[in-house]
Amino acid sequence: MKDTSDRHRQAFDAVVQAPSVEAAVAHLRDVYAVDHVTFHLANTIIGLIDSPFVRSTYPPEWWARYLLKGYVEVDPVVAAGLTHQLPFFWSDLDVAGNALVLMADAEAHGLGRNGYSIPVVDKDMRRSLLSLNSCWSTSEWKRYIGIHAGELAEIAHAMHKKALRESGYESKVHFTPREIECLHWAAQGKDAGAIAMILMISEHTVRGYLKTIRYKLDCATVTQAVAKAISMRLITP
Amino acid sequence: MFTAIQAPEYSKYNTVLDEMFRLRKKTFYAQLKWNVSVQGDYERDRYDELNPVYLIWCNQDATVLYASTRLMPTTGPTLLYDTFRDTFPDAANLSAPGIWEGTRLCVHNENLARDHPDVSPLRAIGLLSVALAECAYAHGIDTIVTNYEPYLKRIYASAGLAVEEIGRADGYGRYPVCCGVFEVSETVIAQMRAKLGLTGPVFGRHDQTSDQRAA
Repeated sequence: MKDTSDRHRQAFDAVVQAPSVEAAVAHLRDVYAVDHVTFHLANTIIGLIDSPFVRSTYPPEWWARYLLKGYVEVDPVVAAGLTHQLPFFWSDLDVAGNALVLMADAEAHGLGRNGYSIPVVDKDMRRSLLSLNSCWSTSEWKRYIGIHAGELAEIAHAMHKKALRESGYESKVHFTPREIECLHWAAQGKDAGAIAMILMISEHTVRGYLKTIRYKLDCATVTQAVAKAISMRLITP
Repeated sequence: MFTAIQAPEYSKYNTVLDEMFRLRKKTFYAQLKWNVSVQGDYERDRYDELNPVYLIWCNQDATVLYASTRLMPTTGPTLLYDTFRDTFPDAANLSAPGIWEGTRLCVHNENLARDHPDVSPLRAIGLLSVALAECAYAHGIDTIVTNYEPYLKRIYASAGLAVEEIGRADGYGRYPVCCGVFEVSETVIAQMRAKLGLTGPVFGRHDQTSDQRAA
């Protein structure tokens, strides 16, 4: 597990601090230098998008056309995104029938042919999908995503929480004693290796706890998580 | 072949998935006597309704199953979280992007002995574990949380996988059930391949199961 890169922290902070999901997708596009970013929030686990929550950097003309033509019904990325668990490259999807029409139309409107989508599911089985779009070649794109896949998964989940808040859901966080212990030692300035020695568990497992804590507190770094935990009085410095 | 089957492909892999649910009943219900939910000839629980990923080792036509396991993201509902959160909260609560749960790992001994007499059931577990690590790594996953019976830890270790036990519970089967966590990284995958004598990836490839050192 690599330490969080600067780009990741910048993107994560931009997403968390952005005034809206709409602003967040634009930030994400800029930080990762991709062509477009789209975020879908679905309330149901399978298939149907009842009242879609979608925010995208796609040009408004394309978006209007997408809705008008009912492309959401045939979009293979949306279909896969709501049923897959693992993230996927658009180039690995089976595209047939009406979806081919959609893909050709998208390219005609200047959208890149490559993409990568990250499905998100939470404990309440709410699902969402973060998609990045690029005109790079498939091999360049796969290499680029390969480097950032772990970070992008974290960002997709931060986006999910942001969209839920924007839709009026508030989630509660609960910490286990071991997580509080890790937070306590992190607040004393100990890194994962030092905490592992103190708690007599492996460094990788400590990193797992620290990542869980960061996820719960919506933070890109452990330092930020410690500050937030102190301000929430989860720990005392 | 070692392949990851997701919901849209369930029907295409119907035959091996059917065999997997039967094998799970035989393994976890009949042999290990775990307290699992059985539906007819199947061991199938509510997590199987949530579109999990099944990592499968099967023949090229996808008609004969050799080994299987189930993979789910820990940010969503998971077996370990729901079942074990009171028993070992530290383990069950590991829940973040990039941390996934692997459960119900089992091997079809008869099919294996018939089609791959050179591969022992223990080696099959090792091979499936490498495939699991490779599949996870390719999808940005860095940690797997899993449950297993105590003796499996040695089998994992012999496949180069250092599973750290972070909880253990009695009363689920004849033996305690452990909850463990392991790292997925290039280093770990290289270690596992070296231990098993593999020269390349197994996941997504056609059969590459033998120990290349023996050749």
